Amino acid sequence: MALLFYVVLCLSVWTGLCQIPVNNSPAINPSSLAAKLTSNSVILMPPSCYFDNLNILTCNSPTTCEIWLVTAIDTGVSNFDADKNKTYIDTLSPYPTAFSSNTSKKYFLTKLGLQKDYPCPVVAGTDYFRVGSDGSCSTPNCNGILPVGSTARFRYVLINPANKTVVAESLWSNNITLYPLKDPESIDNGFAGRSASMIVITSILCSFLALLLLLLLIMLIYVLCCREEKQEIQVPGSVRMYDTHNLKDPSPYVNRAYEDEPQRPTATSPIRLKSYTDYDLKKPATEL
Amino acid sequence: MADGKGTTCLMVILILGNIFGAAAGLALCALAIWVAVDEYKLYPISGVSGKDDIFAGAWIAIFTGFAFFCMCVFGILAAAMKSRALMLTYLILMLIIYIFECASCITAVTHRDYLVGNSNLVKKQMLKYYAADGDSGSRITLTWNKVMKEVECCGTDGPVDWIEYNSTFREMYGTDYPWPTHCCKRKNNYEVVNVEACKNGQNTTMFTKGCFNHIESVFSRYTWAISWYGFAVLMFMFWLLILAMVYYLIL
Repeated sequence: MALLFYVVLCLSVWTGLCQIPVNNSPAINPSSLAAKLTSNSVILMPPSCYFDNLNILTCNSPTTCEIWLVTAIDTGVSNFDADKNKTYIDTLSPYPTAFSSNTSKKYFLTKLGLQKDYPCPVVAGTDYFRVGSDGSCSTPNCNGILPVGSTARFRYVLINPANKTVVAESLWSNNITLYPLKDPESIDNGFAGRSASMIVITSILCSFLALLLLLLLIMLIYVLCCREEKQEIQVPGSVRMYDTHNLKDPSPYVNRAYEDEPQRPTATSPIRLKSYTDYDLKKPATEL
Repeated sequence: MADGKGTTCLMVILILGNIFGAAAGLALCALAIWVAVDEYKLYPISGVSGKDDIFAGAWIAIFTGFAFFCMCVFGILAAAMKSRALMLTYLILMLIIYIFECASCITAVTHRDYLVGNSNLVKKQMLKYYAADGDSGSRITLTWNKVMKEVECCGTDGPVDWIEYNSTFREMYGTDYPWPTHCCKRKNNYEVVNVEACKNGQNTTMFTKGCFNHIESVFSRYTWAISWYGFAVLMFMFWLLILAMVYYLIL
């Protein structure tokens, strides 16, 4: 009974009517890669131990079977499941047209390599697979970037290179949502909040400045109108108070009582005799 | 004078205070020159955003610092000559310089809050201007390249900034590179160690910390130099001026 079942299974695979399911599903690489999920690419775990223990009659060695990745976005999942029995599956939905319009198939296939390139257990250095590493490419099965912010599901398939039929397949992965790109204009770079030091400096400086201005004003007002001239109290006998003015600027003493005199003799203009009449010689004095 | 001994004591205090104030003013001038020279070459980050008044505060402080120095020397003269006219001149001019220095301190500390209070402004500017054309774009690109290379960082808060947000850089190179190659570690001959691993984000081949900490610390250093040291000088000058006013009153 089991043998019959096995023969039937092998025959069906050989005719390409069904695929052997494998109980693994792709997932995002759990290691600490900073770009494992971007807005247009994903880094997945490689299919290292997925297809190892299968006896497949068609592409029957790890050196001939090829591992391919199917990337599908919403209706692409059902489109691929409908297409997977056909031959030459890699030509049914090439990458450039896969997401180009609303009626396109929304899935594409890209080749990872031969089954022997992904041995079990995984070799360090090949423990990741980046979907989208070819950038914005145009060949039919290139590893191109996904539409920005889309939600994709992935599936690894084993392909017979002879007629490009799907021989074995993994499960569909969970929904993997890519980053939706945020607009940088949405960043609010306005008011960032006042720091404590700003408040301290501003308030203290402003108040001290106001205080200083006020005190200066008060001082000026006091000096200009309210202050009396200081009287120098002459303490008798106090030699310190005496102002030796005549030694500071010597000047000839001028008696102000004679201010109304028309001409005052000074050191520079002494009285000059204009004329002298010697009365004694002219008229001798008569004796009385 | 009635209290000659008190006057002489106050004069000596004033002269000593003015000597100290002259030294402080000169130090303020020198510190402000250091800020204006901008050894970390981060001026474009503040200049392109229009919030460059930390450096305006520095320029004002250069002049007020030197003016404080000159006025304090004049104050020594005015106090020694016991002249009322000179003391009044000293007081009024010192007040004007005091006002300008207050303006410098307050401007510098307020604009620091605008610029690096949180990382939004720096992030938005980086996303908009990095790899953009034009004068602003090239200045920002050169500044960021220098920072990323010297400080060994990527992005503002981390490389995730380049992934989360659309940017001029992404529009030009986003199909191939998630972040600039300056985020990758380089060998001594300036070659990138491993471009593929850097594009994947392996943290042994790229820088994973953000640059905002460094930028914020540089601008804070400049601001504390201008505003806190200026604040200290002004506090000292306040008491010096109070003493000068008292001296003027008893002259």
